[in-house]
Amino acid sequence: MFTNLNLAIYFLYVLVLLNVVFIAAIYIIKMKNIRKQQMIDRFQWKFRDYLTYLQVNLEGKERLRVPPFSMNAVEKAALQERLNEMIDSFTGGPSQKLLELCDDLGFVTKHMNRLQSRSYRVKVDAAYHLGCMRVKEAVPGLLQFLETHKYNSALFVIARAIARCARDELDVRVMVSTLMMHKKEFSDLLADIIQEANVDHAALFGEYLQSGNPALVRLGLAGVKDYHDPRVASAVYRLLDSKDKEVQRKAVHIYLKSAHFLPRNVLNKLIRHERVDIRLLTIRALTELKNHAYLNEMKEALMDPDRRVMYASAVGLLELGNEGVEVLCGSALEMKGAGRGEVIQGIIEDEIKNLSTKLHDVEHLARYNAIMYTYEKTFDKNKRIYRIV
Amino acid sequence: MRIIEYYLQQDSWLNLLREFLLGYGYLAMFYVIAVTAIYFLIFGLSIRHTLPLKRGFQYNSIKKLSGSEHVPPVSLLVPAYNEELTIKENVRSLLALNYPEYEVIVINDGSKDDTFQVLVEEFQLKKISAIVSDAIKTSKVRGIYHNPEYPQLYFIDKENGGKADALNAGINLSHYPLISTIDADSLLEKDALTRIARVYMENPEDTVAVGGNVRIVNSCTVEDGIVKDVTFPKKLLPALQNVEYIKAFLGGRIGWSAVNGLIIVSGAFGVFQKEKVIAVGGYRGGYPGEDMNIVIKLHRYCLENEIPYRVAFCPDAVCWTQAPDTYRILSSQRKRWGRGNLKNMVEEGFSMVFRPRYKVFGMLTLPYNILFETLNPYFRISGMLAILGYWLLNMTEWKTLVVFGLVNFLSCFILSLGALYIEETAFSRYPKLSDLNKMLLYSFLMFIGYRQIGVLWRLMGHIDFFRNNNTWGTMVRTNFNK
Repeated sequence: MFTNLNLAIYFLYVLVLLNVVFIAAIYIIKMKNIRKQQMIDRFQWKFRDYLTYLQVNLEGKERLRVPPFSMNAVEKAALQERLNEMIDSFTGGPSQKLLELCDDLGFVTKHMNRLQSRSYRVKVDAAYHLGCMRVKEAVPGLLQFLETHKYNSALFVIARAIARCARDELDVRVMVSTLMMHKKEFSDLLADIIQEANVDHAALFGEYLQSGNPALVRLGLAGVKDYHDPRVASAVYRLLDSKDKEVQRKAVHIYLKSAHFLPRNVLNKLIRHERVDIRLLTIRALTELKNHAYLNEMKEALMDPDRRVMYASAVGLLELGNEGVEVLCGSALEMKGAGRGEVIQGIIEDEIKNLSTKLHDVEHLARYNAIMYTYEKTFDKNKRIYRIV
Repeated sequence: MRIIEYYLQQDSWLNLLREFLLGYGYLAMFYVIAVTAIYFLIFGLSIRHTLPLKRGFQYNSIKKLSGSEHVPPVSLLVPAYNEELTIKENVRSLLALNYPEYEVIVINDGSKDDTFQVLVEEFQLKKISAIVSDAIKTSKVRGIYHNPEYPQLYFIDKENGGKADALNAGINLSHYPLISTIDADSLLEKDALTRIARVYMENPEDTVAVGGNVRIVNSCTVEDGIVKDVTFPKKLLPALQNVEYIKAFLGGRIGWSAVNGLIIVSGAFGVFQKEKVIAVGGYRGGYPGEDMNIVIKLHRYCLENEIPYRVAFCPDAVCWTQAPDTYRILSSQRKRWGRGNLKNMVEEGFSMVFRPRYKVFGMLTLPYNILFETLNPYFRISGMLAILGYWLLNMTEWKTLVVFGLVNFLSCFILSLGALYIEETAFSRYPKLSDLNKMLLYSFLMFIGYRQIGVLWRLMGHIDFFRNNNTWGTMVRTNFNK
């Protein structure tokens, strides 16, 4: 008679079998990993001279030679990994010579064939390696692969491979528009990927900034965020009033960083902006500019309703030399009694305390004396003023 | 006559007990089948997602990304309470991360030891009058310290208010849109933050939190805050916790994150969108389990407001932590976890469970957590008593017990094997064959005493909860390299 116990016993057999299979699989993988590591270690030793040869001959005109001995699959993979790293580390002639070497070693042909494989795993691996080797002929295949790929991490591996292999701006544009079809926001990652392409990035990002597509505008902003070029300032100018808060914040940030001169009307608009983060960005930018022309605006910001803006402005004024310190001390005295004056005075005292520990440095000593002089003159006129020399 | 009546009465009682035990047996059987099915489902998902995850971190160049201007800036929050032994090394390791833009905010939560002096002296910190946001209310901040020579480092000294309160104080001072919580007794791998940033950058709008992988540092060699030589723990308790962590993180969290049902981002290492954390009111103070609580609140907030979101897990971003190596400290930690879990379920879980509005989180994660984590000790203990009853009442025979015992053991053991399979396939962080042998051995030894005592600790945690015992418990720190 078949009972529950019989069923449990059958289930037990299945479980025993599965456990044994799993244990065997784990040990096989472990042994394979150990063996692979040993072969890689041997490779380091065996290829030592060859890798030295590569390093020494990277600059010369002569084409790099392939290793004078045969290699097994693991050694080939290890050599390829090493070459990938070297290609990433060099530019110009040396990089080109390494790419030619990869071709001579048969790596390009091998991965071009693998890109046509039916196995997804093999195709992603091939895409990665073709990208590392900047194989321009791989672009059509990679673009086709990208089009049908679903949205996951490997999508960006293929995108990066396309950027690295890109023949011209058009390849990059097609890659960008294919990725944009996923309707996700990954502008920073995409900007990083595009910067791997051998195209005029500034022109491309500038063009995206002018686009009517918000996703492309965000990509443009991500791309130019570290440019310090007045042309970038004019390109983002129209976005200062963007309704998209994030776009507006980024545009203000880029504008303030790249504009060498801030027109009074723009500055007034930004410093009185309803958003605290915008006002804060503006004050920080003024602090970095260290320009006396903006003294009044920074003084005005000391009365900002948000204390972080007030603090940033006080720090900025301290950076503006004697004039800035005078304005700061004067404002602190004017605002005394309302709490704000005491806070500003505290900031000045902190700076004095901080500088007093670094008086061995002449620059700090001079700064200490200057601040101390103005501070005591403002807050305690009757006290004798000492200068440390 | 009276004797016959007595026996008849006894017999009816016994029959009643038999029927009850039989009914309980059916209930327990369905419970075990359900829990095993969910375990297998999650483990299946974990294994299925291992290779895509591996491809993600293998082919996306982390080295290149760690020098990129496009990775998002992060504020690292390090709450510290009585951490004088490890804080220096921890902060030094955090200041040396391969990451373009970040700040380290250490929060001294009213430590009774020399944590404050150690840090101030080591980094020559001076009190500053920084203005901080008051987005979240916290205990009184005594001072904020900084040294321009370490521009990335800020130190908050505040009155004791608990870990959550310390994290909230850190959030108020933080300058960047992403925050990362790190335990003061843990060490981050140099590229861990970049690895998490990669996952975040793939979908920054939707990603509200990303959890890192926590591994056990006991017995590893640590130099200058960097884990140089990875070794399997030599002591029994850390060794058992090691295999337990591998199973929970690799076997569990990969699968849960695949269905966006992750209920916890470990307090030892996780990254969050600051804006969302503030929107849910910051960390819940006054009780342990704040790391689970914040994730539950994020799920609730996003689902109720129909905000597309995901809570991701990044297994290649590794944080090394010290595991308790004495019975006293381990039991204290586990009771605290049990208490925190129950509190979270009472406070948040019960109101969300089995409500379709909360999608996978309400329909799978929470039922699993309540039935199989929170109520687990009650089923386990009553199950043991029932087995005793079956044996005393002659309702079963040894063969049945052995068969069902083995089925239970092997179906649980295969889950440990699944986690080791993921470890070896994708990470293989323990290079020696002997380490694998030990991992298998301790995966087996977990079933002999360790799991059972874990159930007891959890139950004691529940008792503490009902008795309103709200202390943190015993936690003793030691130097790394021990």
